[in-house]
Amino acid sequence: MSAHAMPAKPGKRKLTLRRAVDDGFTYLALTVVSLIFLLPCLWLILASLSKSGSLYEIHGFFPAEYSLKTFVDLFTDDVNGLYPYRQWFINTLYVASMSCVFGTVLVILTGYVMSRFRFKGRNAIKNLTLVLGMFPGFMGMTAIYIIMAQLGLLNRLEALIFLYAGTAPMGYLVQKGYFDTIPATIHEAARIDGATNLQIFTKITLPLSKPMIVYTALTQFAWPWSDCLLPKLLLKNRDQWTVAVGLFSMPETHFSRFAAGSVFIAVPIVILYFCLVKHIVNGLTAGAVKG
Amino acid sequence: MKRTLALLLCLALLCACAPTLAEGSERYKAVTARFNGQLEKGAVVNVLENNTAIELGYVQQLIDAFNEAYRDQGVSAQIMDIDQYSDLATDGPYGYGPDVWYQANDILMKYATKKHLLPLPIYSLESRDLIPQNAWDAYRMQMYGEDFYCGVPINVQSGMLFYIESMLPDNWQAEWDLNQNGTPDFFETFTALYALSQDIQQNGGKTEYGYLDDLVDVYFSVGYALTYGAYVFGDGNTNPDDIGLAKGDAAKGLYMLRQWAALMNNTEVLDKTFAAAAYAYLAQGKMLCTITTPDVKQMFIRAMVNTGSWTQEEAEADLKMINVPRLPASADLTSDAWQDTILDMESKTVRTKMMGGVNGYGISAYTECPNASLAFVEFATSYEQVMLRNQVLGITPARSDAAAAIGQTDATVQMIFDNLNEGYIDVMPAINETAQIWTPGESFLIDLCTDAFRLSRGEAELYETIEKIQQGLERMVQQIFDAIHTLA
Amino acid sequence: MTMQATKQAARRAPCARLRAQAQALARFIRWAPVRVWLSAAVMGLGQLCYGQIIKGLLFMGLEAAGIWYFIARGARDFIGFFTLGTQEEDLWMGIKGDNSMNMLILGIFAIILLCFLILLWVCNIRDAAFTARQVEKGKKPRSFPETLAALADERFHIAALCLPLVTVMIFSVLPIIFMILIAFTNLGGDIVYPRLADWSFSAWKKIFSVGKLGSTFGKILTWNVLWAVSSTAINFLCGLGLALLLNKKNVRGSKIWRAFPILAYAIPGFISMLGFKFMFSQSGPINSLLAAAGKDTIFFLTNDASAKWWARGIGLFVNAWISVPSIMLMTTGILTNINHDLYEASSLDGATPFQQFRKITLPFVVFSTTPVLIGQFVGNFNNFGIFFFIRSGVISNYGDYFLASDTDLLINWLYNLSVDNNYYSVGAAISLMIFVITATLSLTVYIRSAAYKQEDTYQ
Repeated sequence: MSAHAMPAKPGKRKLTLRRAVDDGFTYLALTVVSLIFLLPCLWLILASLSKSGSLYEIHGFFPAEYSLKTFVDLFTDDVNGLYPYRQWFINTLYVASMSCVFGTVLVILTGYVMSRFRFKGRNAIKNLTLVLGMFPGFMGMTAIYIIMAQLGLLNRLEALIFLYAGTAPMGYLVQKGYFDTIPATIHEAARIDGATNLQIFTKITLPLSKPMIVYTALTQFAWPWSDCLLPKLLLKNRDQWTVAVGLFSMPETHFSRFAAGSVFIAVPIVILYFCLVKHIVNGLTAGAVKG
Repeated sequence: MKRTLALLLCLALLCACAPTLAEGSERYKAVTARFNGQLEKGAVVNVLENNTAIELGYVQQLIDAFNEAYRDQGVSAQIMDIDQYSDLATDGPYGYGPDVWYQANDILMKYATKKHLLPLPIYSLESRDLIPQNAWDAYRMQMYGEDFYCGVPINVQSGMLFYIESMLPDNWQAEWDLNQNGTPDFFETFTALYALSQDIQQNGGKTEYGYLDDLVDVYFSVGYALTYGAYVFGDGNTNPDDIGLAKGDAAKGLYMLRQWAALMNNTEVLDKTFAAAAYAYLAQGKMLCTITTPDVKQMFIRAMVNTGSWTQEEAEADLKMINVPRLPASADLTSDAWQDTILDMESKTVRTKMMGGVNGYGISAYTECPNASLAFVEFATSYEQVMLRNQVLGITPARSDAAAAIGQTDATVQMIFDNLNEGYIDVMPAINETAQIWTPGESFLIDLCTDAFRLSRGEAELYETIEKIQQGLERMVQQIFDAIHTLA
Repeated sequence: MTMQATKQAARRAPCARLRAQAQALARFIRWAPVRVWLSAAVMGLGQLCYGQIIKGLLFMGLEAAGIWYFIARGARDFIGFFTLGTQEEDLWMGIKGDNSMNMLILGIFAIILLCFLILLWVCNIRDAAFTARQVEKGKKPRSFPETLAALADERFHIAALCLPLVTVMIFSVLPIIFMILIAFTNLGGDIVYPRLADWSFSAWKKIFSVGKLGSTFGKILTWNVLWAVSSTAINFLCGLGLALLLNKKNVRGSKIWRAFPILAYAIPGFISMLGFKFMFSQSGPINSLLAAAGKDTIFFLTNDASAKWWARGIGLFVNAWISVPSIMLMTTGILTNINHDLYEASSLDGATPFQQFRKITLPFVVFSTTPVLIGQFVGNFNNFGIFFFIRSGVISNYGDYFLASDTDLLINWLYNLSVDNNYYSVGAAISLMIFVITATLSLTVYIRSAAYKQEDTYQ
């Protein structure tokens, strides 16, 4: 399950010239690929460090002068209340972490039940979620707006938490796929020992599913962190916005502010991804193999 | 018998359709009944303003002044902290819309036609007679066969030519002032501007380009068509069935855009985002002049200060904003000698007609405090506030007294005001359907201007003759017509 | 146990099944004791009579809440669903009126709640009947703690699925039902709040009678299918290729090399897309570099015919840039599961690496990731973000597109129609058609896929 490379086959490396050519091409390809991924990110980072404010004062790839001023401005100067980045960041953190907690609980529960239990209506639920997933999502946005207005949740961050966490169970298939791979015999043994289903879930299944929980939590966190359509629809006041909406509202004249804001919002998630890459691989693999 | 009946019926219909002055009518009294003059005690007026005005600090000054003045009467105002392009139709009913909204007339009127904005009792306003009727018309709408006004004009927006005085060619007084009027000739006719731009691009100068602009912005470029007899909608911009953008000599006028594109030979002008680049380009000396609206003056000044070569005061003195040049009567930038267009201006050139807008305040139909809102609007459109707005933002007031006062020191303000008054600013139509002209229009302009680059890239040209431009225009008009009517 | 029973039931002919159910119901009615009937009359009454005080009160409370809701507003909402409003609002005159959209959604909500109440009523009868049987067998009725314990054990699935079902119902199902129903109203264009809407087939009539809609739909659909197929293929092959490249035994420091794609994976999608938009714009760095090198600039994303394939190509590239890393990570995991003896055996037989890839690796990966591939396909088919972010606000000036550009996918067109131009019912009708297309395509593949067939035989 882990992300080891294929076992090396020693003793087979005789043709040194061929090997050298192979090595050369491999590393060339790797360099090209890495550059393709790195350059746009680097460009954005450089733009955020540029001294002048507008995108169009940067000619070509490199800005003329560098300065950390934009990053300082981002947090200290909100341009008469137009771009309160600090508040946006706190809002985003709140929405993303709360959605992450509740969403993860709901998805894990759904995935587990759908994997372990056979009951009336299970197939109906399975097929229904599959079908629902194929509707073009934003067509429901008008309805979501009205629902939130009726619930009195417009312009409140809780609306987003309900929405992200509440719709998360729709994507239970990955989690189900993971639970499918846990051998049923473990459960049966526990059952014979007199454990209830709740006990089996909390005492046996959950400890075995750490990689899946981490993966789920990460995806449940990452989505609200970077979504911009729903917050734009539901949040009205500037100081209620999330970072994504705020960045989206910035005009080109504030490009380096945009770039700095983007870099700052991307950093935490990049760090999380790097730390948890192993779990992501496991999660993606398990979910893929057993849809 | 039948014929007389039909005639009578027609007459009756005509009478019913002819707009009557709403002042004093029963209907007018009914719909403005909410404005009873009694300020709602304790009301807080939520004011949605434009981002630039907030950024430059004007709105805070305005609100502070209002709160100070109305403290005794128990009403106050605050900046509504939502997006400047809020959707009043969806947010209003749930209480998230503003009470008072500053916007361009096309945006405000989009909501007014669906009654999301209140008709205002303008006949009792102090500014009623001080603002020219042309500006009021931007907020006029017909309902029940009568005219109502859903906004109070504050400032007039139209394309103006911006340049930095110290960047002018050193020899302009000797070589480019044939009529000795103190204005460089190349800012008087487009033919001369074309000649200068050609000269700068070929022989070099203080700047890299003469005139450089995004040619694909409908708002500015449609002037080339309007000047030669085209119009947006028929019946004084009220009839969406009659789209007049291909009428008159519109195609001939737009041919000049293609000439500009070919001369500029810079593909950045094919992208509307150029407008954001323009501030830096002007300040950095990439170009001598460009055309945009007066409300972004501060953006140029900021870009100039950013370069480090100007202080704030120097930049304000050095940046000039003047009327756009006159267009050649021949509708060809190269057929006349530029000197002729200067010396024989009356017969060789025509005054340029630009599209424009009138920004102003509207009051939401969802407001809880119409009277306090109206009080705020009156306060914000008062002489003192309009003067202050001009000072901070450089806008051109719609009030004639303010325009006249500023006009004594700043001739351009008087120019814009006159342009509006004399009909050389074609104010964006105040009907819902206006929203459908921008996208097809921009798409056509991009296609047209791209044509200047096609031949050198081995592609076939699409708009090399006036006839082909005319066909393209007609296609565009058809697209606009379809967008308005197909699904309605 | 239960699984066995449902499977047998499914195999029986529907007619026989109905008859059996009717017989069971008749038996139940003949058998049911008074206290069960009490529960049928007033929810929870039977439970109270059996001494199950808390449970009985809970049921009664729910019934009371339901009745209160229907008196307070539910009945009105229910009727509103059919009328969609009777009094038009006049904001100028200050006359309050109805809002058709709100009435539609509140009506749907009332209907869902009604169904839920009926379901609860059935559960309540079943529960009373269960207790009655227990008593018949001489056992004591379950106490409340025992009921809770049952929920944690044999009824665990119900307890666990309760909350997810409710939230999904409100935030996913309700909006989708709303959207489907909108397609059968005349909402949109001029008829938006404060005007009142009505039930109507006008949207469908327009779609099939207005030629422009049909021809635009056809053109966009062709490109949409091409886009979905090619972007899925490109993303998948590049992701797999990258995984194989990083897995090569002569690559040192694969962790570092892998960091670059992960960087791209971690950056919020809309930032990447907006970044690329700036990058390829006429004043962007790529065109600046081209101009500085004395080359012609390229019309990447402008709106003329020559930009068509550039823009489409950039769309594919940006989409790959965003999606390839996740595919790479996924296939990395899957590649570790391949049986390496196959490679040994095939190389002894003289197979080239390419043959090995084609005959062993590719089939294995495709086989085991079919559901993900389908998901990717559907996701790409409805990929709203790419062209919304990199090329919005233009419509193609040639080729007779109606409110669309040549790069727009159906979903972007839908957005133009329903959000930008308020043609709600036409948009909803078109999205139903999109749904039918994607659902048929992907369900066919999915049901044929091995992953689906294996589902119940696996454990």
